[in-house]
Amino acid sequence: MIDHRAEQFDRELQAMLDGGKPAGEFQALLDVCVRLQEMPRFERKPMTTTAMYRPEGFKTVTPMVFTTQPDKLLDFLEAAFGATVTHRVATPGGGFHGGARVGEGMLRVNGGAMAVGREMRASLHYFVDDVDAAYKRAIAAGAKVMMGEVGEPADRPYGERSAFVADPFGNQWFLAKDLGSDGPKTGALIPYLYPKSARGLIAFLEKAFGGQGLAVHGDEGHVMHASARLGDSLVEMGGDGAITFPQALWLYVEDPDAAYRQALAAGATSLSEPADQHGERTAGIEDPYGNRWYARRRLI
Amino acid sequence: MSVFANEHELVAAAQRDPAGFGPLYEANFYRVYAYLVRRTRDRQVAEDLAQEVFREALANIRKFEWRGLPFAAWLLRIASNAFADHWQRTKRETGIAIPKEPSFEETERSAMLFQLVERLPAAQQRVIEARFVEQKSIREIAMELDRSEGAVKQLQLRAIENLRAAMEVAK
Repeated sequence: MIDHRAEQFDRELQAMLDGGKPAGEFQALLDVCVRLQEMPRFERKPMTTTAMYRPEGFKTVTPMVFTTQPDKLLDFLEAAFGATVTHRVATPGGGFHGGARVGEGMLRVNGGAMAVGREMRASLHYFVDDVDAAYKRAIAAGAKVMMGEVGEPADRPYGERSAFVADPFGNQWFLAKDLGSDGPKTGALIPYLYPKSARGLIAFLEKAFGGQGLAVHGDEGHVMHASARLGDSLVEMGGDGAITFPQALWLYVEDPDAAYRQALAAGATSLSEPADQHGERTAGIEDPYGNRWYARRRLI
Repeated sequence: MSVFANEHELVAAAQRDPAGFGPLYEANFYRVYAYLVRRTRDRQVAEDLAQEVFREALANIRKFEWRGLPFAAWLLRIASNAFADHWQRTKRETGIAIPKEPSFEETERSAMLFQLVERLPAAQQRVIEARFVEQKSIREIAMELDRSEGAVKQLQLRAIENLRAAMEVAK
């Protein structure tokens, strides 16, 4: 069926595009078209200085929580850890972008109504000056101790004093102080991942993002704990696969398009193709263990 | 849920930590671009200058002070200076008078329209971009979308009608 109005409009539009003046029945619509001719192309150029590819204060890896109660989680972070909230922004359609500086690290807190049924929790190894005081403050702010007495502050055989708590939103916090001299310093905020296979995840991170596997502890074939370096950040993982707990992480890189391609080649699945969004170029992938990585760089 | 997306909060967040600049960029990109494309009459130049403007704004965000004007006014002043510099660099020899400032309303209407295009249903948005940004013919778009030319013309008309209606509501 021919839509005569659509045909006629296109003829008038074509005449205008060829240099005519808008007139007649479609004038109001053609006025809109005049303006549309000045629309920007949707390729915003990244800044050329590589030092600026990520915002100030951000490390290579930034954990992200996707929760239906982002505002309350930010309040909790302030109360429990003295975090500084960097922003709380409602987005159209009930979404929410937020963030907080926790110690030396940043935590992204996104979600809102759009997180219903799609929550992503985080598990974090957070280094503090005084584990016992930090534990008390977290409990007072509404956190619960994990694993009963095991989670209370104690010196651990692996060289740190630590306490394990869960916040009211399901995120795990391993509050720790290194008892030696070569461990992470106060303020470090390190994602703690739970892949089915730590060796497998390290191999993936090496192939996909040029990461570097570090210490792997445990018996032969049975990994208790492992870590890997990505840029200037560390990620840790529990490796026996008893718990699986996919998490979401931002990854600042110089070239998100390349990171996306490499990740797919290394066995990841695509969540979102590279695109410009909120002043950044971002691409999303899911690693073979369900963790979501958002490779990104700023455009401005 | 207390959410504050107002400008003061966004600016304060970006001043505390430039990482928070993204939402300000997002909220104002089309405004700055619309201003610049009106003055330069050149998409490429307007895009390049818009990037310059935001780079400069980001570098100076901590110096920004409220003086009773919206944040966009500060950005547009930077844009106006960027355009003047550009004109000096490129057109000084030609003797052509510098194009006059577009009105704030003009700039806002264009910025709003560009923003509205992003909210169109995907197929309509694609047709608008292909037609007006990439300057493709109806036939080319029909091939790309694997639809008849008649269907593309319908999408085109519906998209423009939607944009026009949304602009009227916003007025």
